[in-house]
Amino acid sequence: MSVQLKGRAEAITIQWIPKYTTLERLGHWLHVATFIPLALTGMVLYFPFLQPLAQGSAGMTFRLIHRVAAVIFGLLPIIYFIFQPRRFLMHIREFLPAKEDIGWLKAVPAYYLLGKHEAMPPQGRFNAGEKLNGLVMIITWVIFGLTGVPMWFGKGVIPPEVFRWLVVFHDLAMIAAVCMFLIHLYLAVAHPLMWGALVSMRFGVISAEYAAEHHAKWYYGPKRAMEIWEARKREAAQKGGH
Amino acid sequence: MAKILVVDDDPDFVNLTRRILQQKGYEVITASNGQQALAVMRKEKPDLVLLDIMMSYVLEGLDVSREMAEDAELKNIPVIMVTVLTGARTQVEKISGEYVTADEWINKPIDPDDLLNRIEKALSKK
Repeated sequence: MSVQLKGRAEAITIQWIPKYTTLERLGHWLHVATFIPLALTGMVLYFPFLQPLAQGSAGMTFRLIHRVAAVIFGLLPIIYFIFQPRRFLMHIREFLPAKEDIGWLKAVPAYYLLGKHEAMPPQGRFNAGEKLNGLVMIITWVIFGLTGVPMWFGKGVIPPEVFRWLVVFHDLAMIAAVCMFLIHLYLAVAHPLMWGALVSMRFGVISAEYAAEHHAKWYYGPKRAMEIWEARKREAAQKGGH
Repeated sequence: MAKILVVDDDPDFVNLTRRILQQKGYEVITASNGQQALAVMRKEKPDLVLLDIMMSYVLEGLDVSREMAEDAELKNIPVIMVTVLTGARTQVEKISGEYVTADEWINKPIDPDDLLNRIEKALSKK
């Protein structure tokens, strides 16, 4: 898409679109930097075969790392909300499901495995997979906080049966978050079709071509994105018919 | 003094620009999305439009510009694109593919003096 300047032989073609602010990228990478030690030290306490590591001074060190990382991990979204409240609320709104998301999730195995993109409905600034990742991270962040704080400060005060339930919910949240993290890591770092996602989280911008292909509702607007998608489907059907 | 329509979904940018323009004596009207901008233009007939490109979607400002070009009452209003998008400038006599026209392209963050100079230049061409 180009803009021609009136009265001049000069045109400007849109190349890079800002997707994340510096604070958002810093928050994301600090989230990664705290999530990994949290998951690793949490596993030492979670898996029975690693229990020997949780004893003695090593165990104390693991617990200290877990708690320091947990404080930073817990504060990051609050800092984001304080400094960029409009962006924070915009992100929450953009993570909410849209009606095309079911179609996207149904079509995504053929896209990720075979590169077939015809059936992929147009997506907004976040696609359904990114929304799923975001929602799991938000929900588990809340569960980690609600269960982790009483587990830290409530030992000996909270009734043992309540404490056990806190541990169960903390562990379930950890399983969900780690599974989502591994999928997210693979798609962002290793999948050949998703290179733009990592570029945008490193540099804050996304190319116009990538946005048009992967985030058409955000790029073209909902109406035009649907028209383009319908045309693409008709073209694919005609090719298939011949 | 000229009437300028500022179209942007960022209220901080709108307030800042309003202050810069009002200090120079311009009358300022505002809109926060494309549809609202077109409605205000048809009602208020501004002398110039400062148009953000990326609002509720990336190309919204370009769609506004395209609709202006198709409307006999709006097509002669000068448009200055004010944007965070990064574009590649090329020298061309006639561009191919999809395009819209504008009088100027300014990247954010804006330099107030540069903005005022370009507004004066665009208004003088009317």
